[in-house]
Amino acid sequence: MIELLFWIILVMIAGFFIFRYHLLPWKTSGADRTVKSFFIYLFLLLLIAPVSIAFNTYSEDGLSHEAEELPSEDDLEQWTYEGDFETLDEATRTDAFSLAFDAESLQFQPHVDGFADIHLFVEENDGLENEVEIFHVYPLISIEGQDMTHVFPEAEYNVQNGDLIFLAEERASVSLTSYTNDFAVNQFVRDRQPIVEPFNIEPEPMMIHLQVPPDTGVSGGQAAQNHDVRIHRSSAE
Amino acid sequence: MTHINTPAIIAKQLKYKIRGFSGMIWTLMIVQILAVAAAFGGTGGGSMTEPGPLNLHYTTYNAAFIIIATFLWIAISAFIITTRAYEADDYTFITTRLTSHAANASFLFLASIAGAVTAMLTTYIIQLSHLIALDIDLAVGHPLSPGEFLIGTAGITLYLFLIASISYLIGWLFQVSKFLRIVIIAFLAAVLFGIPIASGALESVYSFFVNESSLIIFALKVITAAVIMWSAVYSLTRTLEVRR
Repeated sequence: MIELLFWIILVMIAGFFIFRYHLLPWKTSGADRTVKSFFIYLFLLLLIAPVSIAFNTYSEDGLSHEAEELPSEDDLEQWTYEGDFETLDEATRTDAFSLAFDAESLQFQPHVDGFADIHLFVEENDGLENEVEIFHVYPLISIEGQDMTHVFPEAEYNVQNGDLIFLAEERASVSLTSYTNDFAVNQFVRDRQPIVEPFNIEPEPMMIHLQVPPDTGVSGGQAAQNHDVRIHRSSAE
Repeated sequence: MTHINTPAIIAKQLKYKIRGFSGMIWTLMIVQILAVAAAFGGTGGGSMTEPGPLNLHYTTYNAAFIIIATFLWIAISAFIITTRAYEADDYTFITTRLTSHAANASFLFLASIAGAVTAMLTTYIIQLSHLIALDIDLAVGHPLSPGEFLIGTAGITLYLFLIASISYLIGWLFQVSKFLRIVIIAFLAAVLFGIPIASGALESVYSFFVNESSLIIFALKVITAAVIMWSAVYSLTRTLEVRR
């Protein structure tokens, strides 16, 4: 906000000087026109700066994008599993990582090729497992500290032999553009961290949003309930 | 006897040069616009497939491309104003070698400020046009704070003036002696072909400036180097005939 204010003030000052001193190129000719054209060029560049900053900050595609559809932390309290990542060795990197959970009722195994299985066991009542509905699966991921969950397509699923199978049809594709205009800034500002490749991509906790019909035995409730499962990586990963 | 007011003459010449060298101003704008257009597609890129079910295609954009184009512009501009056509323009006024060089130094310093400010600002054009025109899932950047922007602008101004001073000195060395012309070309060729003595000397000079992390000390280094170079130019040219 302060940055934006700085640029807006700068634009206003520049605008004042241009109109106060008649720095408009079409009101003159010859070399004066060139000099005044430069001032207009400078003014336009100044004008673009706050527009660009505002666009980056407040637009959907900008630098401060956050997925809006995610449930809040409060919604996750009902049903939360702490799971462990098990990283496979280099020889089996096609399945770059797998997940297993200490809770008996849920197993989740995403594969790096884009497929992932969720096995939901409803042991108390064998006849009701088909009614468990998953309507959102968010494999959360962040790039350079920014939440990129929204790039993943909504999951498809089916139920086989009492297991709920989540199938992601394709890998999510993200186009990222990085900007650095810190030439001669990094040289003099010590704590500034330049953006360098490879980009910092962190798998975040997986989130599975479940809708459980009444009397499934999963939650023990009588009414249809929504549950969000957030699966955290273990610290050992 | 008329008393000559040197600062007034320099100021008058500077005013003339800002108008007289208007072609350079146009060139700056054109060079930067072309550099922005050339950098629109990105200055680097690639793809990553790990970790997890994610294909990441990335394009990197570095404003250094536009700044380097501005460096080239100031280098060529400083060299050009040492040529005889531009030198002859000075004799429209009452002038000495001292006032002529001082006016040129002032002009090049103003040009350095103009080049630095506009080069820093052009980066916002790229960001805005990308966000509007392209389908980008994620834009990653460390936006500059106002303080960092001013530090960057000051740093680039000093770099531009340093380059202008070097180029101006080289330009005059070219003008005053054919022997020095050959020496300079031989040195540049030696750098180009990686001959250790030449490239080592250039690397030492480069490190002297680029590895300096304090803006104030960097400014002192640039000013000292510029004073040495402009003094050298004055010493070389003060006994030259007006018309050669």
